[in-house]
Amino acid sequence: MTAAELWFDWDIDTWPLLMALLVGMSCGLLGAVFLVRHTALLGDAVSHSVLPGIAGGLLLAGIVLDRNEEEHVFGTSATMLFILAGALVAGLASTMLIEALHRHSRIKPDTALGAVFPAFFAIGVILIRLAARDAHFDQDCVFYGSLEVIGEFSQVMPTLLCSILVILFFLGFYKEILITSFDRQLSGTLGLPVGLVNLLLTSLLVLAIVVAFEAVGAILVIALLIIPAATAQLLSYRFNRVLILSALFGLSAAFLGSWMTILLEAVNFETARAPTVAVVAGLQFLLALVFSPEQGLLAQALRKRALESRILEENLLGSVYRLGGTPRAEAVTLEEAAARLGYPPEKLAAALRRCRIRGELTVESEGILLTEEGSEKVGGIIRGHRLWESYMIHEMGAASDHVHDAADHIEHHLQPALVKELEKLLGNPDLDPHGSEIP
Amino acid sequence: MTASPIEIHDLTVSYDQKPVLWNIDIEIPEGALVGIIGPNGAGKSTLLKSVMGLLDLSSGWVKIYGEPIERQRATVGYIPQREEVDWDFPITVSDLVLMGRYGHLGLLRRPAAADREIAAQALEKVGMTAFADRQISNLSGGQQQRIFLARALAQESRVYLMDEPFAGVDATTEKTIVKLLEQMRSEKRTLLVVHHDLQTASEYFDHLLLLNRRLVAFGPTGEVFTEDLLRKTYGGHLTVLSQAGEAIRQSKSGKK
Repeated sequence: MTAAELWFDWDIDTWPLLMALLVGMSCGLLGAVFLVRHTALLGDAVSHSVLPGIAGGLLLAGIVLDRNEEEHVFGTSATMLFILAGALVAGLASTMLIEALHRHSRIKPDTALGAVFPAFFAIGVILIRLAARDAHFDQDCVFYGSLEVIGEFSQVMPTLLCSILVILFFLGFYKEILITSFDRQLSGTLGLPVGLVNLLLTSLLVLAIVVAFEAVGAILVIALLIIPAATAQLLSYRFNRVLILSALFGLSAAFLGSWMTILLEAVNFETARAPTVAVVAGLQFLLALVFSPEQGLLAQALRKRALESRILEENLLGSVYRLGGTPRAEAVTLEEAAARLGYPPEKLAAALRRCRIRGELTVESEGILLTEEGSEKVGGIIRGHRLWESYMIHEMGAASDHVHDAADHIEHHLQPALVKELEKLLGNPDLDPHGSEIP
Repeated sequence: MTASPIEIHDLTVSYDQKPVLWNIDIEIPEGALVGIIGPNGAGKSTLLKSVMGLLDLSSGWVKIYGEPIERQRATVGYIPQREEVDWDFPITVSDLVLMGRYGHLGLLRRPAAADREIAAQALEKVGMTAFADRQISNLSGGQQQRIFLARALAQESRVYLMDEPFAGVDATTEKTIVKLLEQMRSEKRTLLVVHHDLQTASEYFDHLLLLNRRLVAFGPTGEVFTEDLLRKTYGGHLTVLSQAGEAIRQSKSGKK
């Protein structure tokens, strides 16, 4: 084996990679739609429910076809057709049963889902045993898949056709997919074919799951249906981008997972491709969960910190204002300002530094002084504080000694529009309820 | 004589076998701005959904300009209650409004520049242009209601059915909606609006439909907004209708 073949052997690695990419993409696209519809677990149900169909198809093929042609797990392409047909019937039957159960009885959708798919799965397991008894059939493959067994183009063919159908469906029916996912009622009142779109979506889901079976199995296909879609939803608020991102994450998980397996093999660390693909999908999700610019945990933490810093700064300014008065009145020491707020002085050191940089406070030999900008800013905050106190007493009937803490809290969050509203409501008062001037 | 925009004949609608609307019979005149009022559970939303063909009718029929709703989809715009959709759905304000144009496009057709223009104008009319690129979950309740209205405007229908457009909205939104209703009436559109605030009902609408499981009264506001009819609508517990409905449900569903 040459060094290059260690990295990628065209003869061996091409078809498993192509298979993984096709499965990743079509599952990514379809999964995103079911995710935004809050029916992500339907894929789970379907992937388990197709099992009796697969086993039934296999048994039937064994009866009808010449057994000696069996080559690999799912046999010849003729056997594959039987399996596909059986799986499609079982998958659609299970979704219809779930729908019918909760529509025509008092059973809730989640219960219907949870009752139907284990029943189908159990029947499937029994049938698989029967099928395996007289066919060389790898049972593990049904559950976990085996990308490694893909050795020629004919095995990729059904997946390729399915992927083309999925792409055509999304290109042709994009607006119908969008509107039936977001607002089923409006779709109905506009006369759009809601039922047809849903039937096509479910059929494609069943088809995608069935053709992915050999590659990734009944359990790991869920990873590809849900995780890339969940990753995409963390990164965009637009339906079309969620779809495209989800397909891309499916593709990248398939590519990186496959390649990582090859690389690990080169250093004599045997793994399997399908689980590695799922692990990569999971890692992508974790990265997005932490680093997504808007919805990520990091961005959330930073926003929270920024808010805390701003509150400290505003409290410092307020403290200097209340102790020393408007510009160039009396200097205040950091200790005095902190003591008024009940903080240790160190807690305000960083806030003081930032206020100085922005030119809101100056520090001179006798202590801290408000600058012009500083007093303008703090004037606005204190105005909000005192207006809120007046509002609480006059409009909410609060007692005058109970309003300060609430106003302290809300003064950092009052938007200019709300301040205006308060002014209008209170008739632009000059004094707050405690007799202090409203700046 | 031209057919009425909405004709409801002997309509009875049931949920779980239990009738919630009984024998409704109305003909709405062209260009009327109708407020539907009645207590909670009176069947106001059910009436709108029945007209839209979203529910199975136990008896009776609804005709839009003399034809069944299936043949008049483009004529009627419907604004559901705000709670009926998922506001965390990944979609922007402008894309949501553009959905109003979907009924005018055939299968496989994408919205054209003209559709986007109509959607943009609708957004302008409700004062939400500045929010066009926002994600819909970042909106207040009033703003959500306004983009729902914009979506309906983009449908360019002759008849509109609105389910509680004033529910939980701010003062600005309320003013915007009132102005829009007035404008739509001046354009001779026919409007059916579910409303829950009696204080403003007589001010906003030229016709009122008083509903409580059955039709209590329908007519010009001046004629039907009377203490006597309002008491009939809101007072009394309609025990006879409730008991009759429950009895039908139990015997039909075989439950005890």
